[in-house]
Amino acid sequence: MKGGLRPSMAWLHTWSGLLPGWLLYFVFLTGTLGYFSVEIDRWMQPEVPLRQRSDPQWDLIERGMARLQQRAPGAERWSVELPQRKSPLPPRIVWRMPPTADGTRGESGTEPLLPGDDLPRPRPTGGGQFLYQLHYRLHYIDTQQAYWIIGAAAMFMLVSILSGIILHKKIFTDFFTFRPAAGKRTWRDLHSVLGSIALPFHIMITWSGLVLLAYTYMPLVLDEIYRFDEAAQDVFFTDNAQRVVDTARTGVTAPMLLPAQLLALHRSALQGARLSSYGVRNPGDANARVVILRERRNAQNGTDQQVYSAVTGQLLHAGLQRGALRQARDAMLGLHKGSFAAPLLRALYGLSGALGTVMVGSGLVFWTAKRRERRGGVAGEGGGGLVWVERANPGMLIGPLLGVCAYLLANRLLPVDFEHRGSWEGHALFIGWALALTLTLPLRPQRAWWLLTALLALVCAALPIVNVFTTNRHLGVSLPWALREGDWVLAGIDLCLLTLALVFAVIARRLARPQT
Amino acid sequence: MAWGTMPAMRAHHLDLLLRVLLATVGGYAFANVLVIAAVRLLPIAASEAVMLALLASFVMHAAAVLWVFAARSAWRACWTLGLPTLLVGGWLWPLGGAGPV
Repeated sequence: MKGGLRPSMAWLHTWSGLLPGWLLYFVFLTGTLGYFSVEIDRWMQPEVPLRQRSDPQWDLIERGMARLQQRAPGAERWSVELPQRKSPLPPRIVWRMPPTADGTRGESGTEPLLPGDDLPRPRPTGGGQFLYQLHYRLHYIDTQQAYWIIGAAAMFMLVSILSGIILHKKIFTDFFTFRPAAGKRTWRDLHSVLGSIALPFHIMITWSGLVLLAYTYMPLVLDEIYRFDEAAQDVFFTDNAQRVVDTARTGVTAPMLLPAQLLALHRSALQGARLSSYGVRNPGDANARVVILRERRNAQNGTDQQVYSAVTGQLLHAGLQRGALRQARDAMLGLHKGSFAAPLLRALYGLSGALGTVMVGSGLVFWTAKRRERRGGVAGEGGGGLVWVERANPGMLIGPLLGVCAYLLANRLLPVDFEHRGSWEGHALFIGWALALTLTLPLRPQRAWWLLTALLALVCAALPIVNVFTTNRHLGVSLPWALREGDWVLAGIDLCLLTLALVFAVIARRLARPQT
Repeated sequence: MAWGTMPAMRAHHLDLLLRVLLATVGGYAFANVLVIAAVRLLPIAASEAVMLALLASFVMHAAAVLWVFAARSAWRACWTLGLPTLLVGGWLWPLGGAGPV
């Protein structure tokens, strides 16, 4: 472009970041919350009992198998789902009956393993999963369309990151440059500081996000190999789906080994390993299989599973053999999802995601501040696109946060037997956001920022208080529990909300002062 | 809405439009053609080659976008990106890469 590399990259960086900016902000925000979806799930189902996590897993497996024997004899598969480090949900048993004569899929069932875990039934909720899915499936639109919209936005993001790097050659100097309360420059500094601090995270998360949905975005690559042959493509996905080849029932009954006997046979492999589930295919048949899934420990080992004969205890399959590139891809997907990460690392994921969210947001504000300075006049007045962006920014940046709070609030305030409860929690998110936006569009930006930030501080503070009146999992209960048992999930969420309330209150106070 | 981050560009809306088209459509075609050629040429298992192609495709596309906007003129960007795409694409075509076989 005319004027050399730097201005071209500046233009590219600005527009590739700005055009999908509000969407990217929303994706970063909901994706970051997604790292805590299991914790949010738990917060949103306060009926789930508080329980110590000290039950030895092989003991649970033994009890689960005994229960399944009584509860679902003749089932096609059984499994005991064990509590994980990441999700200390109560252990459950799951079963599925064989397909019926006309070929329809057999009925399946699940119930808590330990007595007392089934009362009362947890309330229906969208949970943390709803927030997590928003970041790649959006809402109210077709999933395939959403994938393409998200993919285009992610591609813009990747280009914006790369052109941003070229633009900020002095990336290490920028790292240490922060000029608070300098108007336009503060936003710019904030944007570059956050951009460079978490740069590896931003590159990784954007690239791996694209790779996650690459089958959608790059269909021609698959077609190249499978020549538009859908049957061949199905085989590709099946053998890549890491599922054990289903074994047929022989019809001959045979006694199965007890879990303890299997453990004794494979002590070196199984003793001390943290498992996520212990399943049996064709229980009671001569062809019965034990499928053991291990808990994820790092990004790479994906869903590692071992298959044993349930009758002889022989190891039949020790996890899939995967090529180096396949492993590289799996590692990228693992990095994106962070599902391997222990609590501290996951907190860092959350922090990096939050930095990314603020980076995108500050970029959007910086753009308006810079434009306004060049054009002169008062923010939010006059004509042109700039005014609309200035006026919409508060509602589009603080609005989604208010929406998430409305979502959590709906979880507590909607009656437990409300019809379509989960969907209405979701509607509450978008209603809250839409209200925030329409309320502030007619206002001067300065006032709108103050109003929404103050409102956000209030709602964040209100949530733990509403909790006291609507559940018995409020801080008065969850804090002593956390101190006694070291299980900080419920108390942690309430404490985070209170901290956020404080932070936003401080920001709102600063915004209330007239600025020069 | 004014495009004029760079004052010099106001007279070059056509140049800009061409670059945007090249970066989106052209870049996507460039990335696809390049990685599919890699799948065909690399002496590794097809399932492995697909993985490499999927990982590399987005990087290729992003690199093409940067190149399109860094080039001295839109026409220069057009032929430097278009020529390899057409050449490699033309080589892929008769080998039956596209269409049911």
